Amino acid sequence: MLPDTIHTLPREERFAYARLLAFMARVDNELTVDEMAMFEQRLGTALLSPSQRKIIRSALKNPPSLEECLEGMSEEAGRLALRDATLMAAADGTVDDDEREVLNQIVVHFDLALESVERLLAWTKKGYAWMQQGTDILNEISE
Amino acid sequence: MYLDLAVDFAQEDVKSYAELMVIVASADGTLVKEELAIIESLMGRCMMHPEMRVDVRNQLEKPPALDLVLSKLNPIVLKIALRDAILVAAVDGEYDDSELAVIKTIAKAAGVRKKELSALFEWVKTGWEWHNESFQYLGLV
Repeated sequence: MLPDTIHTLPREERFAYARLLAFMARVDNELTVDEMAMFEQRLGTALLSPSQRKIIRSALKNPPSLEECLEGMSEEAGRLALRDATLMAAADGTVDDDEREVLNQIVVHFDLALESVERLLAWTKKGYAWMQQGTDILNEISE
Repeated sequence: MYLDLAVDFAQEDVKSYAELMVIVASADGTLVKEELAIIESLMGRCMMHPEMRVDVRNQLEKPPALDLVLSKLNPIVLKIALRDAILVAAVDGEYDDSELAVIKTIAKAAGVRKKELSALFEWVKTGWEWHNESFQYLGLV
Protein backbone atom coordinates (compact mmCIF):
# COMPACT_ATOMS: atom_id res chain seq x y z
CA MET A 1 0.00 0.00 0.00
CA LEU A 2 3.02 2.25 -0.27
CA PRO A 3 4.41 3.99 -3.34
CA ASP A 4 5.69 1.38 -5.72
CA THR A 5 6.94 0.97 -9.26
CA ILE A 6 4.79 -1.98 -10.34
CA HIS A 7 2.28 0.29 -12.07
CA THR A 8 5.07 1.69 -14.25
CA LEU A 9 5.84 -1.72 -15.80
CA PRO A 10 4.38 -2.65 -19.20
CA ARG A 11 0.96 -4.29 -19.02
CA GLU A 12 2.18 -7.80 -19.85
CA GLU A 13 4.86 -7.54 -17.17
CA ARG A 14 2.28 -6.55 -14.55
CA PHE A 15 0.22 -9.54 -15.61
CA ALA A 16 3.23 -11.87 -15.29
CA TYR A 17 3.96 -10.39 -11.85
CA ALA A 18 0.40 -11.07 -10.69
CA ARG A 19 0.45 -14.60 -12.12
CA LEU A 20 3.51 -15.42 -10.07
CA LEU A 21 1.78 -14.14 -6.94
CA ALA A 22 -1.24 -16.34 -7.75
CA PHE A 23 1.11 -19.29 -7.98
CA MET A 24 2.68 -18.33 -4.66
CA ALA A 25 -0.69 -18.04 -2.97
CA ARG A 26 -1.39 -21.70 -3.72
CA VAL A 27 1.99 -23.22 -2.92
CA ASP A 28 0.95 -24.59 0.46
CA ASN A 29 -2.51 -25.55 -0.87
CA GLU A 30 -4.16 -23.20 1.59
CA LEU A 31 -5.41 -19.71 0.97
CA THR A 32 -5.99 -17.85 4.22
CA VAL A 33 -7.83 -14.53 4.58
CA ASP A 34 -4.57 -12.71 5.27
CA GLU A 35 -2.94 -14.18 2.15
CA MET A 36 -6.00 -13.34 0.07
CA ALA A 37 -6.05 -9.75 1.39
CA MET A 38 -2.36 -9.36 0.60
CA PHE A 39 -2.87 -10.91 -2.85
CA GLU A 40 -5.78 -8.57 -3.66
CA GLN A 41 -3.78 -5.62 -2.37
CA ARG A 42 -0.87 -6.38 -4.67
CA LEU A 43 -3.24 -7.06 -7.57
CA GLY A 44 -4.67 -3.57 -7.04
CA THR A 45 -1.22 -2.00 -7.08
CA ALA A 46 -0.53 -3.64 -10.45
CA LEU A 47 -3.45 -1.72 -12.00
CA LEU A 48 -4.59 -4.68 -14.08
CA SER A 49 -7.64 -4.44 -16.29
CA PRO A 50 -10.83 -6.10 -14.98
CA SER A 51 -10.45 -8.91 -17.56
CA GLN A 52 -6.83 -9.54 -16.51
CA ARG A 53 -7.93 -9.66 -12.88
CA LYS A 54 -10.51 -12.26 -13.76
CA ILE A 55 -7.83 -14.43 -15.39
CA ILE A 56 -5.53 -13.99 -12.41
CA ARG A 57 -8.28 -14.90 -9.95
CA SER A 58 -9.01 -18.04 -11.94
CA ALA A 59 -5.27 -18.81 -11.79
CA LEU A 60 -5.76 -19.06 -8.04
CA LYS A 61 -8.02 -22.05 -8.62
CA ASN A 62 -5.88 -23.48 -11.37
CA PRO A 63 -2.34 -22.18 -10.83
CA PRO A 64 0.16 -22.30 -13.70
CA SER A 65 3.53 -23.97 -13.15
CA LEU A 66 6.38 -21.90 -11.72
CA GLU A 67 8.29 -22.33 -14.99
CA GLU A 68 5.35 -20.89 -16.94
CA CYS A 69 5.18 -17.94 -14.56
CA LEU A 70 8.89 -17.17 -14.84
CA GLU A 71 9.20 -17.67 -18.56
CA GLY A 72 9.92 -14.37 -20.31
CA MET A 73 9.53 -12.32 -17.14
CA SER A 74 11.73 -9.22 -17.02
CA GLU A 75 14.37 -8.69 -14.34
CA GLU A 76 12.46 -5.83 -12.72
CA ALA A 77 9.11 -7.61 -12.63
CA GLY A 78 10.84 -10.72 -11.32
CA ARG A 79 12.57 -8.87 -8.51
CA LEU A 80 9.38 -7.08 -7.45
CA ALA A 81 7.48 -10.37 -7.65
CA LEU A 82 10.11 -12.04 -5.45
CA ARG A 83 9.69 -9.30 -2.84
CA ASP A 84 5.90 -9.47 -2.89
CA ALA A 85 5.87 -13.27 -2.98
CA THR A 86 7.88 -13.07 0.24
CA LEU A 87 5.30 -10.70 1.75
CA MET A 88 2.54 -13.11 0.74
CA ALA A 89 4.35 -16.19 2.01
CA ALA A 90 4.76 -14.54 5.41
CA ALA A 91 1.22 -13.13 5.57
CA ASP A 92 -0.17 -16.13 7.46
CA GLY A 93 2.59 -15.96 10.04
CA THR A 94 4.82 -18.77 8.80
CA VAL A 95 6.90 -19.44 5.72
CA ASP A 96 6.80 -23.18 5.20
CA ASP A 97 9.44 -25.24 3.41
CA ASP A 98 7.52 -25.37 0.11
CA GLU A 99 7.15 -21.59 0.05
CA ARG A 100 10.81 -21.09 0.90
CA GLU A 101 11.77 -23.50 -1.86
CA VAL A 102 9.77 -21.49 -4.42
CA LEU A 103 11.35 -18.23 -3.24
CA ASN A 104 14.79 -19.82 -3.64
CA GLN A 105 13.91 -21.01 -7.15
CA ILE A 106 12.94 -17.46 -8.12
CA VAL A 107 16.26 -16.22 -6.72
CA VAL A 108 18.16 -18.80 -8.78
CA HIS A 109 16.14 -18.05 -11.93
CA PHE A 110 17.01 -14.36 -11.76
CA ASP A 111 20.58 -15.04 -10.68
CA LEU A 112 20.18 -13.02 -7.49
CA ALA A 113 22.36 -13.24 -4.38
CA LEU A 114 21.65 -16.43 -2.43
CA GLU A 115 20.96 -14.50 0.77
CA SER A 116 18.18 -12.51 -0.96
CA VAL A 117 15.37 -14.56 0.57
CA GLU A 118 16.67 -14.20 4.12
CA ARG A 119 17.17 -10.49 3.58
CA LEU A 120 13.64 -10.06 2.22
CA LEU A 121 12.17 -12.11 5.06
CA ALA A 122 13.89 -9.81 7.55
CA TRP A 123 12.56 -6.82 5.60
CA THR A 124 9.06 -8.33 5.63
CA LYS A 125 9.20 -8.86 9.39
CA LYS A 126 10.17 -5.23 9.83
CA GLY A 127 7.27 -4.15 7.61
CA TYR A 128 4.71 -6.21 9.49
CA ALA A 129 5.99 -4.67 12.71
CA TRP A 130 5.52 -1.23 11.13
CA MET A 131 1.95 -2.09 10.10
CA GLN A 132 1.25 -3.28 13.64
CA GLN A 133 2.53 0.05 14.95
CA GLY A 134 -0.09 1.76 12.80
CA THR A 135 -2.76 -0.41 14.38
CA ASP A 136 -1.35 0.32 17.84
CA ILE A 137 -1.58 4.06 17.24
CA LEU A 138 -5.23 3.66 16.22
CA ASN A 139 -5.94 1.55 19.28
CA GLU A 140 -4.39 4.16 21.55
CA ILE A 141 -6.64 6.78 19.99
CA SER A 142 -9.65 4.60 20.76
CA GLU A 143 -8.76 4.32 24.43
CA MET B 1 1.15 -12.67 10.90
CA TYR B 2 -0.47 -9.51 9.65
CA LEU B 3 -4.18 -9.02 9.27
CA ASP B 4 -5.22 -5.43 8.81
CA LEU B 5 -8.31 -4.07 10.54
CA ALA B 6 -9.68 -3.09 7.11
CA VAL B 7 -10.29 -6.77 6.28
CA ASP B 8 -13.16 -6.77 8.79
CA PHE B 9 -15.05 -3.82 7.33
CA ALA B 10 -18.75 -4.36 6.73
CA GLN B 11 -19.61 -4.01 3.03
CA GLU B 12 -21.60 -0.83 3.68
CA ASP B 13 -18.54 0.74 5.32
CA VAL B 14 -16.12 -0.36 2.61
CA LYS B 15 -17.64 1.87 -0.04
CA SER B 16 -17.64 5.01 2.12
CA TYR B 17 -14.07 4.22 3.19
CA ALA B 18 -12.98 4.01 -0.48
CA GLU B 19 -14.91 7.20 -1.29
CA LEU B 20 -12.89 9.01 1.37
CA MET B 21 -9.69 7.83 -0.33
CA VAL B 22 -11.02 9.20 -3.63
CA ILE B 23 -11.79 12.55 -1.99
CA VAL B 24 -8.25 12.82 -0.62
CA ALA B 25 -6.61 11.77 -3.90
CA SER B 26 -8.61 14.27 -5.93
CA ALA B 27 -8.37 17.11 -3.41
CA ASP B 28 -5.51 18.84 -5.24
CA GLY B 29 -7.36 18.70 -8.54
CA THR B 30 -5.05 16.19 -10.20
CA LEU B 31 -5.04 12.42 -10.08
CA VAL B 32 -1.73 10.74 -10.71
CA LYS B 33 -1.14 7.06 -11.45
CA GLU B 34 0.41 6.51 -8.01
CA GLU B 35 -2.83 7.66 -6.40
CA LEU B 36 -4.88 5.35 -8.58
CA ALA B 37 -2.57 2.46 -7.71
CA ILE B 38 -2.84 3.03 -3.95
CA ILE B 39 -6.64 3.38 -4.10
CA GLU B 40 -6.86 0.11 -6.05
CA SER B 41 -4.48 -1.46 -3.55
CA LEU B 42 -6.57 -0.35 -0.56
CA MET B 43 -9.80 -1.52 -2.21
CA GLY B 44 -8.08 -4.85 -2.83
CA ARG B 45 -7.00 -5.13 0.79
CA CYS B 46 -10.62 -4.68 1.91
CA MET B 47 -11.51 -7.38 -0.61
CA MET B 48 -14.16 -5.07 -1.97
CA HIS B 49 -16.62 -6.58 -4.42
CA PRO B 50 -15.52 -5.91 -8.05
CA GLU B 51 -18.82 -4.14 -8.90
CA MET B 52 -18.44 -1.83 -5.94
CA ARG B 53 -14.93 -0.99 -7.15
CA VAL B 54 -16.41 0.08 -10.47
CA ASP B 55 -18.73 2.49 -8.62
CA VAL B 56 -15.78 3.97 -6.76
CA ARG B 57 -13.71 4.35 -9.95
CA ASN B 58 -16.60 6.21 -11.51
CA GLN B 59 -16.37 8.75 -8.69
CA LEU B 60 -12.74 9.61 -9.40
CA GLU B 61 -13.78 12.37 -11.79
CA LYS B 62 -16.52 13.68 -9.54
CA PRO B 63 -15.94 12.73 -5.91
CA PRO B 64 -18.81 12.78 -3.39
CA ALA B 65 -19.12 15.51 -0.74
CA LEU B 66 -16.81 14.98 2.23
CA ASP B 67 -19.46 15.80 4.86
CA LEU B 68 -21.86 13.30 3.40
CA VAL B 69 -19.31 10.47 3.42
CA LEU B 70 -18.07 11.31 6.93
CA SER B 71 -21.61 11.16 8.30
CA LYS B 72 -21.98 7.58 7.08
CA LEU B 73 -18.89 6.12 8.75
CA ASN B 74 -18.65 4.67 12.24
CA PRO B 75 -15.79 5.90 14.51
CA ILE B 76 -13.58 2.83 14.06
CA VAL B 77 -13.71 2.91 10.27
CA LEU B 78 -13.12 6.67 10.38
CA LYS B 79 -9.85 6.20 12.28
CA ILE B 80 -8.63 3.56 9.84
CA ALA B 81 -9.68 5.81 6.96
CA LEU B 82 -7.71 8.65 8.51
CA ARG B 83 -4.56 6.50 8.66
CA ASP B 84 -4.97 5.41 5.03
CA ALA B 85 -5.91 8.91 3.86
CA ILE B 86 -2.46 10.05 4.99
CA LEU B 87 -0.90 7.24 2.93
CA VAL B 88 -2.92 8.31 -0.12
CA ALA B 89 -1.94 11.96 0.34
CA ALA B 90 1.73 11.03 0.69
CA VAL B 91 1.93 8.77 -2.32
CA ASP B 92 2.73 11.44 -4.91
CA GLY B 93 5.67 12.63 -2.84
CA GLU B 94 4.25 15.67 -1.08
CA TYR B 95 1.30 16.76 1.02
CA ASP B 96 -0.72 19.39 -0.76
CA ASP B 97 -2.56 21.99 1.36
CA SER B 98 -5.92 20.82 0.02
CA GLU B 99 -5.09 17.21 0.96
CA LEU B 100 -4.05 18.32 4.44
CA ALA B 101 -7.32 20.20 4.84
CA VAL B 102 -9.28 17.02 4.06
CA ILE B 103 -7.13 15.00 6.45
CA LYS B 104 -7.72 17.52 9.26
CA THR B 105 -11.47 17.35 8.64
CA ILE B 106 -11.40 13.54 8.84
CA ALA B 107 -9.28 13.74 12.01
CA LYS B 108 -11.78 16.12 13.60
CA ALA B 109 -14.69 13.84 12.71
CA ALA B 110 -12.79 10.86 14.15
CA GLY B 111 -11.99 12.72 17.38
CA VAL B 112 -8.25 12.47 16.76
CA ARG B 113 -6.09 15.06 18.46
CA LYS B 114 -3.14 16.95 16.97
CA LYS B 115 -0.53 14.84 18.78
CA GLU B 116 -2.11 11.60 17.58
CA LEU B 117 -2.36 12.93 14.07
CA SER B 118 1.35 13.77 14.17
CA ALA B 119 2.06 10.18 15.25
CA LEU B 120 0.20 8.92 12.18
CA PHE B 121 2.17 11.23 9.88
CA GLU B 122 5.38 9.99 11.48
CA TRP B 123 4.22 6.39 11.02
CA VAL B 124 3.69 6.99 7.30
CA LYS B 125 7.20 8.43 7.02
CA THR B 126 8.69 5.37 8.72
CA GLY B 127 6.75 3.07 6.41
CA TRP B 128 7.94 4.95 3.39
CA GLU B 129 11.53 4.49 4.50
CA TRP B 130 10.92 0.79 5.14
CA HIS B 131 9.42 0.33 1.70
CA ASN B 132 12.28 2.12 -0.02
CA GLU B 133 14.73 -0.30 1.59
CA SER B 134 13.27 -3.05 -0.59
CA PHE B 135 14.43 -1.28 -3.75
CA GLN B 136 17.96 -1.26 -2.38
CA TYR B 137 17.80 -4.98 -1.53
CA LEU B 138 16.45 -5.73 -5.00
CA GLY B 139 19.04 -3.61 -6.77
CA LEU B 140 16.31 -1.42 -8.27
CA VAL B 141 17.58 1.95 -7.11
